[in-house]
Amino acid sequence: MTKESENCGIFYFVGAGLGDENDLTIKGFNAIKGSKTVFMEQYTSVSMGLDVKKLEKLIKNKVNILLRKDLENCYERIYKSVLEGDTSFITAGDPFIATTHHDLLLWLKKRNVTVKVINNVSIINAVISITGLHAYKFGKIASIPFPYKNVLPFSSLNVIEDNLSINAHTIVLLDIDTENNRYMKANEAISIILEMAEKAEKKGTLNDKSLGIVVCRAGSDKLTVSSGMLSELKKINFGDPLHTIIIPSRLLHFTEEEAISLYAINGK
Amino acid sequence: MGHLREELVKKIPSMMRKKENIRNIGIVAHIHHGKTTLSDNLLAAAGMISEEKAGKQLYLNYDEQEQERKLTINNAAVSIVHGYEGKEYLINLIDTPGHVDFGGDVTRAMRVVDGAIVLVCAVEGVMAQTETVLRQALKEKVKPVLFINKVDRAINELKLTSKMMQERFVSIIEEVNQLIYKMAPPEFRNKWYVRVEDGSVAFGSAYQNWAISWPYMKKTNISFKDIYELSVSGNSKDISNKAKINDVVFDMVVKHLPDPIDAQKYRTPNIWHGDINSKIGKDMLTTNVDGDTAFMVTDITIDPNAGEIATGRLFSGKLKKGLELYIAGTKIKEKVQQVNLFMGPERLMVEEVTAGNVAAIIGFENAIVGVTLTTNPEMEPFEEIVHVSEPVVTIAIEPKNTQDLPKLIDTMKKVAKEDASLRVEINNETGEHLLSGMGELHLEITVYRIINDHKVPIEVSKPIVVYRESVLKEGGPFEGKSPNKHNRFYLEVSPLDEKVVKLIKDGEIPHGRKFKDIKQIINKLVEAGMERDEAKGIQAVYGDNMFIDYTKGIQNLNETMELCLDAFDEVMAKGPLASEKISKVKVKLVDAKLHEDSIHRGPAQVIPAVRNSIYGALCQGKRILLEPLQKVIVNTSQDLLSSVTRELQKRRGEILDLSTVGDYTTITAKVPVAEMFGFSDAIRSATAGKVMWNTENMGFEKVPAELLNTKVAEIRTRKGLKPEPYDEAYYSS
Repeated sequence: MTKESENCGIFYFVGAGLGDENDLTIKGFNAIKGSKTVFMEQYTSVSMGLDVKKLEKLIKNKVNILLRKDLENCYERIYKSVLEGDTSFITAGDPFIATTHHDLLLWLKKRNVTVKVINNVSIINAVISITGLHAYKFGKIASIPFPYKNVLPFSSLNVIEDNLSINAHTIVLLDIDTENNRYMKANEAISIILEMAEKAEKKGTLNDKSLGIVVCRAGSDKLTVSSGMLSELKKINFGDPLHTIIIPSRLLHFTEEEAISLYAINGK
Repeated sequence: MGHLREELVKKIPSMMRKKENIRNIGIVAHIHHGKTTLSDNLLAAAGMISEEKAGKQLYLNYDEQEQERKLTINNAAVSIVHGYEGKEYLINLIDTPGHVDFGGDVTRAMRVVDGAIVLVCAVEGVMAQTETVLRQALKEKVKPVLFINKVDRAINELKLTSKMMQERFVSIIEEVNQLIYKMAPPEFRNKWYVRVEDGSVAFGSAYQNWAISWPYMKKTNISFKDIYELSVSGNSKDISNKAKINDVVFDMVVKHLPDPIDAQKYRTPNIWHGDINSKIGKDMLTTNVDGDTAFMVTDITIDPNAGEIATGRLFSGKLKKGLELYIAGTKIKEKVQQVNLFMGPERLMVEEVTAGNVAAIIGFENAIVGVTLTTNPEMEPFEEIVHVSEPVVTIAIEPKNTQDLPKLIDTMKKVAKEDASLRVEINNETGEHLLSGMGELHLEITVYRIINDHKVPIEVSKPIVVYRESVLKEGGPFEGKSPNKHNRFYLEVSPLDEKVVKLIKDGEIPHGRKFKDIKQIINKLVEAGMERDEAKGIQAVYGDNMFIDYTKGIQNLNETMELCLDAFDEVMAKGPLASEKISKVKVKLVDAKLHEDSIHRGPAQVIPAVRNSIYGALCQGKRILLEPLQKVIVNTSQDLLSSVTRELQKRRGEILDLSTVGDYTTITAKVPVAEMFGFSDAIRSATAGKVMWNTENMGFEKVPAELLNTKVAEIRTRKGLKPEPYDEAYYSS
């Protein structure tokens, strides 16, 4: 290590979980509180309920927000702060589920910075436990981006169809655009999925009669879960973000069936 | 005059039905070779205007400013009746601009005519623009005849003897025939020579209102010697009575230029690329009056009273009031409100116009230059009009009173609609309204029109030169990373092969993306020397640049291709050196590493990555700046030669050629457009206004290395950018 890094601190990746500041783990909270500099990134995702002002009061320190436009030069900035002392980097959910930050981790490791990761709950395991579907039966994750010009994200449909073909459930994550305060809604995403199913060159088995589950605001007090046919779900306005969709396999275990029927929108 | 004219007006409607007696012609010439004077005197002699007025009043130039400048700017058409060997012929004469600043108009006029009178000045001989306009004519399969003008000046000013005079004619004719051989379509190469013996060449003086040809001499027993002597004696009135200009010229036209029936047989496949065996194809091939209507619009003017006047050539069918016409290739349908024939500045309302004629229709709001109007909604439109030259000078326009802004925007759109060689760019973000044209003069005239014809008081910026950026050699593959570092793109750049550039310029390869006839495009590229694997990857053409996907089997790349092409478009519109358009660059995607998830490879990730990769590769291939050049041709007397040369050299001019005939010297120089601003005043004061000069655009050339940094800094500063461009390292982060 070089001379300038005598005061070099530890770099903490801290998962913030899904709800508000109370969802931080004690370990995570302590890391943040003990850090000289605290960053919170909002370019991959956001913890909708986390109140930055409250958190700043609790830790008696400033929280530096990083947006997408800061991304270009934020590595150097982060590196500079860790050379001066412990630094925390807060991300929504669990730090590396959105794979983006691995690049930062590697970058810091190359510069011999000690990195510690403090995990938390992610939307991926939250939706599984909330819905009661079996974790063992999930396939690849799909995502629906905001449509760009008229290009439909058929690769996402392929993921769902592939999973259906091996009787696996699919978690479908929806695009967010924090800078413009745009969050894709479940009904928008379902419309895109159905449009693709209709236009797909190679016809799959998904159609508007297929079952879907919509999980909204996971981790908060305003959590809702709704299950039903995609054609019905498409018509519903699910309210505030964030929304996540699950397309369950056609072969459901009876405990899964029971769980889903709890949330049926038409009472079935 | 009035009486004769009225008679003609009565005759024309019945005459336009006799297709074999129709000639649709234009006059093409180098600037100041006397085209307008010839047109006027032809009209005067044919009884369209009084003889006294002809030559003084420039009849075809009805725009006030054109009279001042003695330049023909807009197309105008007239129909004239001419008797030849006992039959009456209807000659539709389209005026074409000779100044190359207005090249777009020339091309358009060539589409509607079947024959052209090529006018060459006996004093100056064949000039650069003679070649340009003749090339345009031959490209459109327009048959030429030759008129050697200003013979009076050659005799009286150059003091050439009768023998020297004839030698001079022979050399001009030979030169024209060489050009015809070089540029004519192969099937006409040996047929379209002009010859004194058969009367496809005439000599004379449009100014003195006389002309002579070999057949006419035989017929009337006038010898060239008689003419020569009369001219020396200065008795022009006598010559013009003996050798009537309209008789000689129109005889030549009727005898040697084709009628529409003949011309449409071979011209239709040349200017229309639909199925020639379809009904509409056959209708046009046979000039079928009862067939489907096919009308090609080559000129739009906006009359304050009548509205949109669309002039063009009717290839088949009829035009009638109330007829519903489609704009081919669209679903737009409108009714013809009025049908007109041209009589100089006047339009003559007629019941109907039939196939084979040049006409105008009133009230077709959606028509723009180059569209095809037809009764057949399935008809394939005429080939898009290809512009030979690109704008090289831009001015910014502001209204003097802010409340005129909407009117100004409207007016700018209108003038651009009327003159296809103008480009208008209205940027609502910066509030800049830019007008680009072929030269300083072209823009001056347009500004004059905005102020005087459209009555919008405006402020105009100094003219700005339009630059291009390109690359010296191969650069890349350069790694471009997405902001989330999960996607990497590798692109290469290189100068695009000239043969491929030509294919794009000629319209053989269309602009844009998602090409319809991809197989044909690939074959054309391979023929032009591109490797087949590379040609197969063609994804987009932007300007004269090409994007090629050279990768194979990269999963999900198809979903990101639109984004790659958006980045390509963005870079091609704004080069890395000075934010100028990029030209003649081949961009090749050679590898990509993509994230599995579609959100992780969205627009915010892919566009910057590809953009940086192309910019970086351009840095590696060495960025160059290109500036537009003009060929400046100055005619001067010996004593002023050194003043002229000095003025040209002061402006980074390179003298290309010096030629002397008698006391006249013609200097041809190559000068950067940037240095040409104010040349008009400078040369006038350096030579006391005694020289004639004109310019021609010569395309773009590399800015000399020693000037590059200063130029780049100058442009960047003007655009509010930091003076130095970014380096390679900047694009790799």
